[in-house]
Amino acid sequence: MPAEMWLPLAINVLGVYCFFGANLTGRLRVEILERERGTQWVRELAAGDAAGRTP
Amino acid sequence: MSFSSLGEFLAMGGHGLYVWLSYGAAAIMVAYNVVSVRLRERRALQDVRDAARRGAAPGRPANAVVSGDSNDS
Repeated sequence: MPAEMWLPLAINVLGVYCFFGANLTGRLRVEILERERGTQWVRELAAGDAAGRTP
Repeated sequence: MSFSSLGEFLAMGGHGLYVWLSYGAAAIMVAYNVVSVRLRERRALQDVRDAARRGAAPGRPANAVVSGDSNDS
């Protein structure tokens, strides 16, 4: 494959992996929040989130 | 490899339909994944706040078998 093809391909592959990792991590966060919703720290987090963004 | 006009760029040497449909499909998948997770997170936190306001500890309904997997959304 010509050089000007495989380098963008490699970058794209890396990008897809990173996107997958980020997406998986995000879904894991939400899953944990849902499962632990009865706990104190989640309640505090939710209350704090109401005030300012980004838990 | 460069295009001399916007028309050429859109046509992509005759492969325009494939290229742009592929980009579109990928963009939709990315957008869906980002949006669906954010929505779920917001809803989860809102549920916690609602339950706290209603009377603390939303907890899970009557225990029983907690199915290990919650598939998506």
